Amino acid sequence: MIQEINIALRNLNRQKKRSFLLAGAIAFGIMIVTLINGFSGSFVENVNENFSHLMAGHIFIEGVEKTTTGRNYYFISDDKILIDTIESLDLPLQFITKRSEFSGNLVYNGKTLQQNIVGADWSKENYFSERMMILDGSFDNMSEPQAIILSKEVADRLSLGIGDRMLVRMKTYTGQQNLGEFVLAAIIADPGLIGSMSAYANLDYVNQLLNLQTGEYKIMGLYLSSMKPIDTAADTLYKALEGKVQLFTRDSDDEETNFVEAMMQQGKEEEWEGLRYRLYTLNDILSEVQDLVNVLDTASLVILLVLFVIIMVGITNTFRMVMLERVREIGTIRALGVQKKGVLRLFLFEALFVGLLGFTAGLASAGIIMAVLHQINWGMDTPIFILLKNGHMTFKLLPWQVIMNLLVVTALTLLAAWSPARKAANLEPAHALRVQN
Amino acid sequence: MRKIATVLILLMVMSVALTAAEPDFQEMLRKIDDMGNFADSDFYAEYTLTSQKPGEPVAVTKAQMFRRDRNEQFVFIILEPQEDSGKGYLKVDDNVWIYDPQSRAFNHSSLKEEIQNTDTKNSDLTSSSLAEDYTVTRSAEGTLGAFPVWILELTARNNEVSYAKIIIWVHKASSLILKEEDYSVSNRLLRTVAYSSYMKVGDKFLPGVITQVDNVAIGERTIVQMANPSVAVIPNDRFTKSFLERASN
Amino acid sequence: MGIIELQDVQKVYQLGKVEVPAVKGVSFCIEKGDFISIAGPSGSGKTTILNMIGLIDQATSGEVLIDGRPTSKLKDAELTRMRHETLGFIFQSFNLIPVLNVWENIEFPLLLGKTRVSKAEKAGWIDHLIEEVGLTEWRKHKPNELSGGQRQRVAIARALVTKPQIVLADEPTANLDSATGEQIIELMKRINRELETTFIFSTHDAKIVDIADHIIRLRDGLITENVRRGTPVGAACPTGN
Ligand SMILES: Nc1ncnc2c1ncn2[C@@H]1O[C@H](COP(=O)(O)OP(=O)(O)OP(=O)(O)O)[C@@H](O)[C@H]1O
Ligand SMILES: [Mg+2]
Repeated sequence: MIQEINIALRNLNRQKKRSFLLAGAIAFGIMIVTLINGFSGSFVENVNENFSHLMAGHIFIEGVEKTTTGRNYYFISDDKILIDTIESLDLPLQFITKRSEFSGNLVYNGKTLQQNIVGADWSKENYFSERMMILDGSFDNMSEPQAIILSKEVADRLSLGIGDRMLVRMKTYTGQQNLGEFVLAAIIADPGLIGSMSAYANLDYVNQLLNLQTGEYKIMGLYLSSMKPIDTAADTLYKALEGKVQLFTRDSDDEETNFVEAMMQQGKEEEWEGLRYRLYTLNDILSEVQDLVNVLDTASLVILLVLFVIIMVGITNTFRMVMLERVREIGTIRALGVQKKGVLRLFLFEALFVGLLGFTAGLASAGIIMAVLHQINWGMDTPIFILLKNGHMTFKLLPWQVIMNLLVVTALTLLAAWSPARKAANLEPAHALRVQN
Repeated sequence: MRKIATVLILLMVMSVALTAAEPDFQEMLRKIDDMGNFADSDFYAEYTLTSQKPGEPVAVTKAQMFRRDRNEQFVFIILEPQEDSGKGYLKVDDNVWIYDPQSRAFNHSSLKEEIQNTDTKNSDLTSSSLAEDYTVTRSAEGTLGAFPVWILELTARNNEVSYAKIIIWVHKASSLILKEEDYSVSNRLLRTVAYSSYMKVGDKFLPGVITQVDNVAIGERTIVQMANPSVAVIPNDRFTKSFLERASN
Repeated sequence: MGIIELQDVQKVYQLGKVEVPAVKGVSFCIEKGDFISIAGPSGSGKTTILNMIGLIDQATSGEVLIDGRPTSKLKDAELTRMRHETLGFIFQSFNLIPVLNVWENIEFPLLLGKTRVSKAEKAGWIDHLIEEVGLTEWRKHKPNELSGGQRQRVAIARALVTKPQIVLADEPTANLDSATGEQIIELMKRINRELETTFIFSTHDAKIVDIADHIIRLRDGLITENVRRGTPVGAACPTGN
């Protein structure tokens, strides 16, 4: 056996160029597939993480109060019960954010632009400021109560500069017309892929505009220490809250209905009174991302198979040629006492080594490419920002995917070499020895 | 001395007369509401909304309004511009629906919604409910052009009406509103409205022209013109979703 | 004592629909330890007969007995094992394994079977054989770095490494100049004497035929002469021993 491996390895070395090409083809296929796997592996994580930063949380709670006149008001007035419940649970919680937001019209110098404006307590959400790509102005300007941070696109469209004051027309939480004034504190880069990004202002002023009292706010965000336990944490929290407050049903299992639609339907159909909370997670909002990842993974598998069908044809042809070249050699070793199975193994080992060589080279080159791509800083103002981690591409390879690829490559290579190897093993020694070459 | 006394007495009497002449403002609001409401009949009119925005071409919207105020029902259906033809608002019970003929779908809307990106709200063209929504918190006499008017400051009774505060100029003799200013919760002027060319419709009076000036986005204004008002009976099926669906075909 | 016996062996090759009779009924007996030459012109059936003795080809009819054991009914795996255990091969064009060096080529057959011999013993034996064929200096060289004569010496050492009872050499000198060819035959003869290994070689070179103890001449697939040490011998092995 050792001798067979030895000879197989040396045989590989014999036709360096041919082995190199064959292994190279396999390496190329593996490289592409590994890159896709690596990309899609980190894709969900990055998108989720970026969104969790933009939205300041992984799990969200909204309050809905139904008035006696039958109107729904969206705000959380007293979060004691929520906070107590959250703290009584052993959630992997990093911190809790409290935010308010509204969609209003920014008016400046005769120009009007609709904009979503998020109010946060920046003294508590300072991690967020670190992730903002500030192009002009400074985050320190947020100490001004009416300060606002706009994206570059919005600032440009309204021709606003740092320190300029603009009006904002919006509606209070009860729907009354209100008018406020913001001062431009900083301009940040646009993360293009998610469309127009929110503008950021101070929670107190946003609340004042919404006509909310101090301590009231619209959305509570739970920021977990890791992405993984979102759903379990959300389930735990939901169960814990169930007895204490009214909750909207969470049908995140229902993949068919769109999240927004489901929310609208809930609000309409159910008959209820008083105060209710809605609990949802980043995963509910980003379920499409997971779908996309599944598509990517399927695509990579299809690519792997297509590439390897092509490569397999190459392997089969090459080994057929190898067999013909070595007919007399096969006759010789058969005469010397090598069994049929030995010849078969000799060929299969050779194919296996080509496969392993190609796999290793492919994995290594994918690793190099990943490292190089990871080094590039794409900045935060790129349209693919949401796929990146701090402006860098990241890759995450799951061990089972690598093993799976290895198994697929090995199996396909052996399968491709099988028929020529069988032919070689079944050569009649006498015939083989007569061949002149 | 006598003269002086006489003058003094006269002044006193006058002031008493004046005090006595100060009307019940809440009653005045009810009167104004009554003037704009058709409790005993249906109401139909055609409206032309001309909206001006700086740097943009003038946008003209033509629409029909069907109202049955006693049931708080209305249907507002857009005829022009062509691309929005068939779009409509419908109020049944407490719900205001907006109908989009493109998607053939009804969505929730509200009386506070602006029509077609103009300065006009649905509520501007439907029945008035000042007395119910506001209390008069200040009043003064004055003139508006040649007309003697009451200037009333109205403060919202609840936090659900569009404007937290409005000021109206009410023609003393007729109790018709000539001018209105709308304020935000933060007490800033949002909109100024002028009512003119009152027309007699049945036994009511309605403004033939409403000019709405945006005080936030400077230079924006909308002029609403009313035509062919009628109090004739409107068929019941007008106030249904299926009417809007049929009308757009 | 006959180590190899052919009993009315016929070999017919099938060339499409045409039957080519290569060996037309051949019987002879070979004594253990002899140095045998199978001579004959090209196409006379030398290679065919050696292949049948070497168990890499099977007779169409008749029987080949190796060490008294009939082989016509044996399966491929069994034949292969017998080849490995009792036979050594030397080929006309050397047939060394190109990727292995001299030492490894010689070692190769030893790695195939299960031997109870120690590593050191094995190495000593291989070194001894290399010395025997005079290639000590070349032990680490690859076949393509050797001359034809040197290659054939490697082949001889390889054929002997498993200590086979019989070594078969099909025209071992055909690819060599006559001087080298003679040296190779001399070497084989020497080993034949030293190790008492039965050597059978084929040739159509009249000059080297005479060195053999036992000469079998062929023509058109039939034996024309069967002479051992100057005296004709019978076709069958003497029975009862
Ligand atoms: N595989 C085969 N198919 C058909 N005919 C064959 C085959 N092998 C050998 N023959 C024929 O059998 C006959 C004997 O051939 P063989 O190779 O045994 O002769 P040889 O004495 O070894 O000749 P040479 O001295 O040329 O090696 C020849 O006529 C040859 O053409
Ligand atoms: Mg021959």
